[in-house]
Amino acid sequence: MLEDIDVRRELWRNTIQLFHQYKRPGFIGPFKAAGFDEYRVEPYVLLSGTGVEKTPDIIASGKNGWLVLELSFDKKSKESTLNFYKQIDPRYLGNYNLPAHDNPPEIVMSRLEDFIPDGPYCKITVKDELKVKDEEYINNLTLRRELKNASGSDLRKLPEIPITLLPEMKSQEIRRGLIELVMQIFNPDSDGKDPVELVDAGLERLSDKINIASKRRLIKNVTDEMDVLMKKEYLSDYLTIDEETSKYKATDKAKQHHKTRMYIVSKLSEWAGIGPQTTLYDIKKHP
Amino acid sequence: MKRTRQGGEIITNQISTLRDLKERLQAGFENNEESLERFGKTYSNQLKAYLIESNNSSPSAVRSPAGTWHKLDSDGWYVNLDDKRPNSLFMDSTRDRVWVIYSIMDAAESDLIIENWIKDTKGIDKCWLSRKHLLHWENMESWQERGLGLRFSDGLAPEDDAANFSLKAWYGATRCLTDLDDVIKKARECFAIYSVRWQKRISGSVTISAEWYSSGKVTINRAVDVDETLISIAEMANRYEDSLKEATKLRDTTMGAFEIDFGQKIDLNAFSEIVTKGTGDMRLWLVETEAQEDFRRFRGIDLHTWDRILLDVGPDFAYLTIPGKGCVNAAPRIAVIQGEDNAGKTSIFHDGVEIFA
Repeated sequence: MLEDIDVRRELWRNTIQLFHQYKRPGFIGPFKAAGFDEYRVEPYVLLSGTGVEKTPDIIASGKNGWLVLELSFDKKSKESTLNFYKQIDPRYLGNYNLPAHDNPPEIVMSRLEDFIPDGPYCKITVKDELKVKDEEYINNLTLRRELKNASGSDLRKLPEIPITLLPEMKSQEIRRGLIELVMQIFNPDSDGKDPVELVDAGLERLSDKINIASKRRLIKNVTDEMDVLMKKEYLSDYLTIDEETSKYKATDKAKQHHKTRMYIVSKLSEWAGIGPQTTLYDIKKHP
Repeated sequence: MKRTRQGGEIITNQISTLRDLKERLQAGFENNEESLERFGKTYSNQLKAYLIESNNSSPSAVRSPAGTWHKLDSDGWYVNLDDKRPNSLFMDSTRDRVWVIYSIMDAAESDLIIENWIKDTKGIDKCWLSRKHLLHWENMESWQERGLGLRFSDGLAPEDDAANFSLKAWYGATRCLTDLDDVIKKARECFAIYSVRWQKRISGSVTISAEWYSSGKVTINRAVDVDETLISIAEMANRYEDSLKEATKLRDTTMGAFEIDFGQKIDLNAFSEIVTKGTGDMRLWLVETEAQEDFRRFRGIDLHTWDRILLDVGPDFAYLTIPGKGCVNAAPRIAVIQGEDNAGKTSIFHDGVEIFA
């Protein structure tokens, strides 16, 4: 079962998927249903008149209007931030190839579990099921209706999103976000990956949008977690670091053999706090 | 181009222009039509084409499957020069993402050479044709479906309990067994199609008879006109390239997953066991990160390209997320292989709209 350590990814995943539709088991996100088809993550915009710079988490736009969505774990109210978003100049939508509008945006605050007094704005929570509150603050009647209709939707089986690392992730979250990046290092043609490359790949499209200080902290945290992975109880026999280039590389012992792969999978699972693979057979005899 | 005649067959000595190639292929078609009329069978090797998904800038970036590539007079066209099998493979690399290799080798030899070449060459893969691709000519004038192959190997089930199914049915202009239509209709709604035989008829005469396979290969069983034949193959290459470009755009501009819907329920435990080892035809090496009774989350590597993938799997569907610039050809590959091995009829969607179609 999904444990609490994946909370940041769950907030992002379950919010982003509200813009999408899946046939099985059957899910239409309310933003998709309301026609807010196109969205951009962390766009840089300015406020009307003052020119104050802002980077909201998501801006979406469709034929019938546009929307600013803020995601947060912060227990403090985001009311003042949301007040600013109301003043974003809609003409910047065109800079992101989004349909332009001349009215102010709809504002939605997304949190994982608890509703916080975030001011006169619509609020949603996305832990396991969609909960909607204060939808009367949405002026777009289609969006208001779709949010209300979608309230109670099961969000537990929605697809992952391509962003696997986020700033402020805790130790175990970082480890899970690194799993497939570490596996790539075992490609026979790979010349290794350094911590910066790991972070850039994990942040994916957010890579050039994260401020330098947050990114540096993340790189440091990734380095710390990789140090643990290279300890004796995990993958010290299979993974090493090239001191000259700071790249993590596979050792000669890492062969392209299914037993080696099973062993690496089991150790990565252990390191990332996932526990044994549900169907993994005895892996004691790893090569 | 020099020509010699051996046993009634015109042999082209050296092919250096696109026209030489077309003449060589046309001669092969004519020889076969002639022998078909006289002896009831063909003797020249039939033309085969393999659609190749490529992430390389040009064929010169990769070795030839046999010998070395030499340019023809026309941009993007190549012929292989080789001590053993010269002038037997031809490459059309005029598209960005889909190359076509034409072969006039014997089928068994040709298939093996191409299979090994794809396996050993970085950045290339087969074009995995969806059901919609294979049925592309269904509503087109002059084209008739003349048979199909269905396959379901139930590869995740223990051998003794496997619900294997395979059917290859060829039918002529008139269906002798009318009841067969119902069986085929039911079967094709449950299982994966791995080949379809198409015939183009003009004024009652066959102008092209071709069998398309889900692995992106086509065998031209009969043909009259080389240009008409090459264009029909290029049509599929164009269609597949359009699908790849559309999927790449979706990968880059949205964070929605590719949804693969299956016609048969799959055994999640068996699936998990195979992908954890990185074995099996799908060549996925994954770590299971979340397990519910009817839903699993995996993340790991597509061993074809060593790109990262995130795969969330339910009993009759899978969500595929491809981070970064990972190759979107993983979507049709998983759909086709998983369909034929384990999952039956398979379709790919994005935001509820069918893609690779």
